[in-house]
Amino acid sequence: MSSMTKWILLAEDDPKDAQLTTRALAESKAPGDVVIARDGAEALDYLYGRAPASHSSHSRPCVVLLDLKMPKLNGLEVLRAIKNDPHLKTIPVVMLTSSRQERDVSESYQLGANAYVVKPVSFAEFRTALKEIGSFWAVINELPPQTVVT
Amino acid sequence: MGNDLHILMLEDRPEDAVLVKEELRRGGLRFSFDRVDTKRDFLEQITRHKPDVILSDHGLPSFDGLSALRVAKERCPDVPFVFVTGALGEEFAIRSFEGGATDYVLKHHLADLVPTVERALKVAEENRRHRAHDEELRRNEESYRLLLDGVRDYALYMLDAQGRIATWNSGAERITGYNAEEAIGKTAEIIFLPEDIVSGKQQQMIEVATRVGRYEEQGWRQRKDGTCYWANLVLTAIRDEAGALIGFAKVSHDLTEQKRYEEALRKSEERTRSILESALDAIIVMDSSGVVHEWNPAAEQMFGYSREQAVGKPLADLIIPPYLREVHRTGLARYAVDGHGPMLNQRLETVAVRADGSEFPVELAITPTKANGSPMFTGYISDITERKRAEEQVKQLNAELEQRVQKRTQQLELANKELEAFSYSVSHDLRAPLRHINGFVEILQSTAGEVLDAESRGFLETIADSARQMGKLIDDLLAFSRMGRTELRFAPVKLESIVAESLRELRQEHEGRDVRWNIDPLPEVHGDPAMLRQVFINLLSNALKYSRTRDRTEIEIKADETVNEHIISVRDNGVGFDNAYAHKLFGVFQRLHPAQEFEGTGIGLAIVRRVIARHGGRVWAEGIVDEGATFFVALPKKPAAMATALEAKA
Repeated sequence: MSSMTKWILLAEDDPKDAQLTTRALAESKAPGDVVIARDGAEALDYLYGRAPASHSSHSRPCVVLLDLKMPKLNGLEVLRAIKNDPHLKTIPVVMLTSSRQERDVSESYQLGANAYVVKPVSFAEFRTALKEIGSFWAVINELPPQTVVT
Repeated sequence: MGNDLHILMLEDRPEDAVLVKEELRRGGLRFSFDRVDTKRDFLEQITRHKPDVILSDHGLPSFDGLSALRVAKERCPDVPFVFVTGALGEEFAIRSFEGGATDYVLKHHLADLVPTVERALKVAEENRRHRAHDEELRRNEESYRLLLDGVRDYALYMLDAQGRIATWNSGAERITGYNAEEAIGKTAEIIFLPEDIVSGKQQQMIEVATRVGRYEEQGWRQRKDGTCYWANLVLTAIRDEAGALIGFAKVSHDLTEQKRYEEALRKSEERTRSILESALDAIIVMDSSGVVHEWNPAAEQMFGYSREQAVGKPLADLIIPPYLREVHRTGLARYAVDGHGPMLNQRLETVAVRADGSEFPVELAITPTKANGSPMFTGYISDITERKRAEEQVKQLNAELEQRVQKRTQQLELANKELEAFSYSVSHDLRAPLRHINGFVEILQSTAGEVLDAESRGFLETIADSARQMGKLIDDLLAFSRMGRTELRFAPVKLESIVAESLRELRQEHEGRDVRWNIDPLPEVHGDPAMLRQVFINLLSNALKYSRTRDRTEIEIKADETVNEHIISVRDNGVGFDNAYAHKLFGVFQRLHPAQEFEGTGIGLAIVRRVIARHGGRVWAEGIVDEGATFFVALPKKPAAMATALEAKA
């Protein structure tokens, strides 16, 4: 698979949310695939290329969309792991959650999140939000140079 | 005899007088001599120039000798009167001596004259001396009597051998109330108490005085008016030269006042003593050098030293622990120097030591006193072992309580955390399904909208509406829960600014409407600005909402105050409500109007009540259907204490 192919990693344990999210992303102009991890541990597996159905062991997603409440490792734990790893820390991470809790917002930014988005209840607004996320991070945003891991 | 004698002679025959003069001169006497022969001259002579001796014939023609003798004895009884006569009958002789003549000389025996005159002078001299002595005696007796009478503080009286009153001075009269007339002749028992009369006291006194010469006692006696007096009395037996009992002298002194004073003193001392004896506190008196003078029974018991062991010893050696003795000594020394005693006249807690060496806590008060000029210190000491133990217990209980409070606080904090987790989960987990419902309904609408009939499309719309409504409910519920949990940050709050901000916030709700605002000057209160802002947003939002059916909305904000509270009211001219349901207004999710007419979740007023309650205030409302509603908020002027109390309750 071409290392040039952009892809988005969505860490979301709720299949309905995952379905709504991928649908909204599909409507955006975001290129490439959306890979869904069902929990925090699986998300890290994908990033480290350990997952059996790994999308690519050599490429990194253009953005990670992280839910907060997930089984095994929650969103904040995954975020901490990413930002503490010198190889991963440049990957943009957007928190995508239904929590408006101030504590979650501030802790996410403390850990190095690049954005924090509250999922709107209305699907119309949700769709709009995800369209913009997709077009910004997967199209407009220039990615950091990728270190090739051999 | 140094001086010349003056001799008066009553003689009618001058030649006889010459012979007499011659004889006297021959006898070696030096004298002056007058001869008279009438009564008038005689009287004049003895009055004007008192003679040393009178010589008298007895047979004068106009004035006989016995008459002359009588006159002379009358006028100058101490001048010797010697008859010089020719013859002397026996009868005349007897009468002359009876009349007081000193002697006689016969004219034919004039040789006897000088010895007779000399003898007469000697006798007269002696008589004069006797008389002077008697006079002195008489005068002495008189002054003695006056003296006795003058003694008013002492009853001085004589009793005869049988105990009857013989004399009675004015002191006796004054003291007993009986006068001399009433007393003299009566038994001395008139001043005895009835029981003393019955017991025969008088007799016993007399017997003792008779036997040993003197009897003395102090005792009660009774006055004439029946009152009693305390008498000191001395009974002395009086005997004549032969030793026979004549009577008794009694000296009695009224000592009632002194007795009363002594009695009072004795009673006061008794009282003092009994206070000392019965005091539960140890009472110790020491002098300025620290030596114990007084040591009451409580001190004996408290410290284990008897009074005998303690008195006279330095206090420091008895009850002061060794490590405090220096303080005690310097304290005493300092007081002696400058009278400064920082430890005096107040209650102190310190440590004392018993005879067995054990130490115990005491409360001590020392007061300085001056007895007979030298400074003394009285110490009142109570054993506070029990009190200390109780205090210790209280301290321990307090510590336990503190611990329990801490534990309870921890539990509370835990509960709060759980509550937070709950609301977190509500905000996160309850929202997700709503979002899904919304999301899939919208997808369905956009993908299958055309194939569905109008009714089905309406159903989809209803599903979406319900989901939105539930989202709003969740948001409000979270806000309400936040209002209850968030810590209040008290500050001075200008309600006028709060109201202005609220109106800005609600701009969308009143722009384009005819709203007439009537706002009083509002006070500054003490409260949490953000929360109070929420209160006014809710109240004003309600006022606007329920009055929007009016052509012209009128909203009035008034400020009132009582001694303790600021009362703010918000009145509108909206649809109002039935006062019967006024109590339901402030409940969570309580609504008095159907949602179709006025949207809302019924949480706004519940938030108002919760916030105001947390400020220690209260809320209430009055309404008239179709005329309007008034909401009242009362905030305490000094809210801190109450709010804290309510905070704790919450």
